Formats: sequence, C-alpha cells, structure tokens
Amino acid sequence: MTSLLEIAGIGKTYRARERTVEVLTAIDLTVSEGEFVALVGPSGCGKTTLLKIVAGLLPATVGQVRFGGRPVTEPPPGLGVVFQEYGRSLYAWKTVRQNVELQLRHLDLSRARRRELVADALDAVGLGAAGDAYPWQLSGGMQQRVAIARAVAYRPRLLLMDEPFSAVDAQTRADLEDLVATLWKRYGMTIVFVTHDIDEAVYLSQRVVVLGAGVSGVQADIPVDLDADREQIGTRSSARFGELRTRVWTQVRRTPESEMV
Amino acid sequence: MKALGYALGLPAALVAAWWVASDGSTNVFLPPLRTIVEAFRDVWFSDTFVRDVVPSLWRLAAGYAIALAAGVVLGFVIGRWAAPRALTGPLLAYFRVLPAPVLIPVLLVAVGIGDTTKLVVITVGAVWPILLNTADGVRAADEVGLQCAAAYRLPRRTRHLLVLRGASPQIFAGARQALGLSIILMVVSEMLMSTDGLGFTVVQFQRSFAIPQMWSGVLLIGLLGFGLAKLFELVERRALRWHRGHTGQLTERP
Amino acid sequence: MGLAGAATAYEILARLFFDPAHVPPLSAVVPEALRLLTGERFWTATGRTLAAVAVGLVIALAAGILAGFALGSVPQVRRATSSTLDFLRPVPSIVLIPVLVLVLDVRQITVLLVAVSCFWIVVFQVLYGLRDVDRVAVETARAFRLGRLARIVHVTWPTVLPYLGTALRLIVSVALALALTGGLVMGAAGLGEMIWSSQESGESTGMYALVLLTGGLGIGLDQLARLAERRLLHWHVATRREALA
Repeated sequence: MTSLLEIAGIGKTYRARERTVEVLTAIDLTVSEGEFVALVGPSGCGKTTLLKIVAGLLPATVGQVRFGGRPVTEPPPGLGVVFQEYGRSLYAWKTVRQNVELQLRHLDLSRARRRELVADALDAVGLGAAGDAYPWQLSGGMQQRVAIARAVAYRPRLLLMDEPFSAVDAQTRADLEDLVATLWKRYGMTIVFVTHDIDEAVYLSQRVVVLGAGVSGVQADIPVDLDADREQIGTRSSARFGELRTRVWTQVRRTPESEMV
Repeated sequence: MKALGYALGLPAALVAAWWVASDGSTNVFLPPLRTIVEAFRDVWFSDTFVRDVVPSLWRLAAGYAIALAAGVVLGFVIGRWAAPRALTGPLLAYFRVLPAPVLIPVLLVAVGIGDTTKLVVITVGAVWPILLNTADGVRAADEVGLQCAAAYRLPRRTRHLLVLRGASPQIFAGARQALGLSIILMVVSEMLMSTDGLGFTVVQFQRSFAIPQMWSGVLLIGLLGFGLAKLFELVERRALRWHRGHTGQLTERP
Repeated sequence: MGLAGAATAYEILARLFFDPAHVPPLSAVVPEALRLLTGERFWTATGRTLAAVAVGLVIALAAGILAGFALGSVPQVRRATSSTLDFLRPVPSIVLIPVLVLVLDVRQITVLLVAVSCFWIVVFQVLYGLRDVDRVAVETARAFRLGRLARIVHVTWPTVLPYLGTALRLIVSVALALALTGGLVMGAAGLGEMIWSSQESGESTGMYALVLLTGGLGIGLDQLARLAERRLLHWHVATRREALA
C-alpha cells in the first residue's frame, strides 16, 4: 500500500500575549491509501488541531503535511470533512440536496453526473426521500447523515471526521458508526477519524493512534486486528476487542493530567 | 373566522367610535371623520397625488435602495476583513449614535437645497443601521460552515455569498430599522426644505388652516408607514423562513 | 489610529474639494467646538434637550410598562389588540407634529414626540418579555401555588426585566433623535434649534461643531444606558440567585 498522507514533525504553538501554549509537538504519522485510522487522546491533546492542520485549514508552526506527495498549504483537492457540529456545518437555507450538491458545482462535472452523484450519496446514507427537506426539519442523526452524504458525493480520497458522533444519542451513534464502516468499504476512501471514545475507535478502525496531552509525538500506534466484518454486539463482546480496548485505555491513561473518563 | 374577528374587531370599533364621536364636532381642530375622509378623496385622488406623493415615494425608494446596496456592500467589507474594521471602528461607533435628523442641516449646507439633498438625507440616514447590522452578521458568520466551505474548496465568490446569506437575518433587521427611519427622514426633510412632497403639503395645509386636508395627509403618511412595514414583513417572512425553522420558531412543517 | 486617519482624510477632502462655507475643515470645527463647550449657550441648549429627553423617557417607560402589562397579561386582550398595535407602531410619530402644533406649545410637543416613539418600543419589549414568561410561569409558579402578586414579583417581572434593559438602550437614542427633530422642525428651544439657526444664519463652522458635539452627547447617553442596563441586569441576576438559595 502506498502512503497517502504523511505527517512529519508537526508542532503547533499558540501565542497569547506573553504566554505561549504548545498544543502539538513533533507529531509523525503516515496513513496509507484505503486505511481507516482512529485518532484518540484525552481532551486538550490537540486532536482537532491536528485534523485542521491536515485539512490545510490551520497552518502548522513547524513540520510538514504531505497529501498524495504534495505539501499541504491550503485545503487540497480530494479532501472531505465531517465535523461534530452538524447543525453548523450545513447551510440552513439550503435543502438537503442543495447542501450535498454545493461542493460539486465548482468541479468539472456534467449536470447529469452531478445529479447522479447527489442521488447516489443520499441513497447511500438512507436519505433518498429527504432531498427536498431542510436540515432543520431533520433530527440530529439525520443531519449528520447529510454531512456524510456531502462528503461521499464529493468522492474524496481522504475523509477527515472530527468527533462526528459525539452529539447524538447512543442508538443513533451505533447506526452511524455502522454506516461509516459500510461506506468506507463501499467507496474505498481513506478515513482519519478523531474521537475521544475508545470503544468507537477500536470498533471502527484498522489502527488506533493515541496522542498524549503534554507529551511529544505520538504516544502509541496500535493495530486493530479484528475481523473485517464487524457488528455492534458480537465484535464489541469478543475477547480480542476487550484486549485492544484495554491496551488503548492504558495508553490514554498514561498521559499526565488525563481528563478522560 | 374567529382569528379574523380578533384582528379586525378592535380597529373597526375604534374607527366607528371616531366616526360617531366626531360626527357632530364643531371643533375646528378635530373635524368629523366624515369630513376628513371626503378631504382625503378630494386631495389625494387628484393631481396632488402626482405632484406630491409621487416625488416623495420616488425619493424614498431611490434613497432607500442606495442605502441598502451601499450598506450591505460596506458592511460586508467591514465585517469580513479585520483591516477595514480596525480602520473604520471609531468612525462607525460615532455614526452609530449620531441622531440621523441632524444630518439634514449638515447636508443642506454641504450639498445645497434640492431634490438630491433629500435623497442624500434618506440614504445617509438609513445606511447606518444596514451597514452596522450587516457587519455584525458577517462577522458572526459561523466558523464551522466557513471551514467546511474552505475544505471543499468552494470558490471565493461562493464563500462570500454563503457568508452574506448567513448574515441575512441581521441584514433584514437592519433594513427594517432603516425603512422606518427613511420614512421619518423623508417627511422631516420635506417639512424643512421642500416645495413638494407629502411632508411639505401637510405642513402647508396646517399653515393655511385647511384642517381636514391636513388630517387626511397625516392619515396618508400613517397608512404609508403601515403599508410599507407590512410589505417588508411579507418579504422578510418569505426570505427568512429557513431561519425561523433553524432557530425553532417555526411550528408547522411543510 | 482609525480615528486619526478618518480625521486626516476628512481634512484633506474638505480642503481640496469643498468651500469652507459648505464643508469647513476639522481644524476650524474642533476649536469652534471647544469654544462652544466653554460658553453658556451650548450648555443651556443641551440642558433643554436633555430635559425633553428625560421627561419623555419617564413618561414612555411608565406608560409603556403599564400598558404592556395590561395588554400582555390577559390573552384575550392581547389577541384583540395585536392588530391595532401592529397598525399603530409603524406610523411615524412625526406625523403628529402638524396636528399637535395646533393645540400644544412646541416644548410639550417635543416631549410628546419623544414619549410616543419610545412608548411603542417599551410596550413591545414588555410584550416580548411576557411572551417569554408564559411557558415557564404557567408550569412552575402554579406548581408552587404562588399567588398572583407573588407570581408577578418573582416570575414575571424578572423575566421582563432583561427586555426592558434592551428597550432602555434602544429608546435613549430614539429619544435624543426626536428631541433634536423637535428643535429642527418646530424650533423648540434646545440643541436642535441651535443647529438649525446656525445653519440658517450661515455659520456653517458653528453648525458642524454643534453636530460634532451632538454625536458626543449621543455617545454619552448610549454609555449611560448601557451602564443602567448592566446595573438592572446585575440586580436581576442577584435576586434570582437569592431566590434560589
């Protein structure tokens, strides 16, 4: 497998008046094409900051991010994002379909192809019938499905997800997790998934990367050797799942001043 | 039906009460409503309409339209970028509180008397609420939405339009305030420096003790204020339906 | 820096493109403003304008709060009056000038203009506040079996108060604008009249200086209203905490 994303020596320091706050130090990470990597760590460890640097939305203080071999200085083509705040990431004055279609308008696509992509993406997330609704007419979980459909229709090589299911209830969360797993296999995207939920990280990913608070570099990089076909109850109650969960948990707890519950 | 009764009941009762109570009035200052209505027909359904109401409305429409365009464009620039904001900050703070009517004598001196002055008075007075509200709305543009737009590499133009659309609730709030102000400035500027227009005509009637005619003019200005406010509300309700839904103020689901 | 830039830009534009009789440069206006500040005439006029503002505001607040509560407390009354209020509110209060000139003196009219315009803002803010109460009050206050008076004191009034704070901030600038309009249009003694007469007598530098100072007055009143609002809301938060403890 070729590497799609290379993060080399990334550091980020915020300067506020006389104080400087170091949120990221010497992060090295390589993600291969088609991989599903989960990024976990205690709150305040800079997961979200790292994701924004990877997306080219935030400049790094030191280090370099390369996406598809090219250094990232602004959001690169072929990048999709899903943020936690579904209510704010969708445009409330546009219908579901318009929200999904907006990002395709500036790509060089025929009208028919654009429509096809939108319809396919809406079907894929189970919102085929809700195209004419407005986001605010949908539940939180369904709004997040729209954000996912928007990413899917864009056919990204890399999909960045920042705690996408932190704000939805447990049942919806399980459904959305399985949806993401299905879409990952179906569209062959590479996914970097930030979460503070260790179970979710293990359940979804092929690799869990632990960032520590106040420590330099990546604290641990744990391969997840579970079956490719996972399922909420069976997988989560398997012995191997328990072992992996404990390993990740120990790594997260090792970080000083942990705020993880 | 019941809702209609509630809506029309009191206004009808009040008009009827005014009609009856003033019917036999011999007070020169408070003529019978019947006389006022007759005067209304005589005065405003004649060439006075063309001579006085049309110029007023034209100035109002032109002044307001320019204020709207300039306010949105300038407000957008000031709200979007830090440099123009820092540069204009103290000046905006000053104009935010400067009462609009004092602009009339200033413009009278600076621009001179004439049709343009009244137009400029309306524009210069009405532009501030639009500009300030637009700047506030643009500045408060949702960061998450903007980051999504940037990540998906939306063209600059599309992103500007998204910001503007997101700020539209505030823009409408400013535009509504500006509409009321425009009408006031139109009437005041005509009272102070005009040879035609609604404000001028009403003052002329009052000075020549044509009391029923004056009352009819007052009534017309009141109706104009009400009618334009309602028209604005209609446009606003349509344009901001999404916003009421988004903020949970919409009960019916289409 | 922005202020200095604006001042310089104005100075250059005024000197390059305008006749000093039409647009006097700031270097002439500022000394004139300082001269006015030391004279008695300006302060007398300001005092008169502020008196009209103050009296009008007191009337508007008292009448507005009473009317707002009277209309908003009874659902039937609110429904029956809402269309009438909606009709009357957008009617610009200055249409009253020609009518009132026939029966009152200009000072009284100015106060009335201030009072009427501000009255509407207060009434509608009280109504918004009362609408906000409904949901909470109906369930909690009844559950605690509070009497009518206790309900108004502990539930309704604290909810309406922030809305009145907003109203205060809005009406202060409206009041100043209308007090000045009274002077401009009808020659009611005060700043507005002083501005108009200096315009009529061609003292444009003096007029610009007065307008500059009027803006300063506006800033002062605005700050005062914000301070009062903060006090009002501070008290509001404090009593709430007390009630909880």
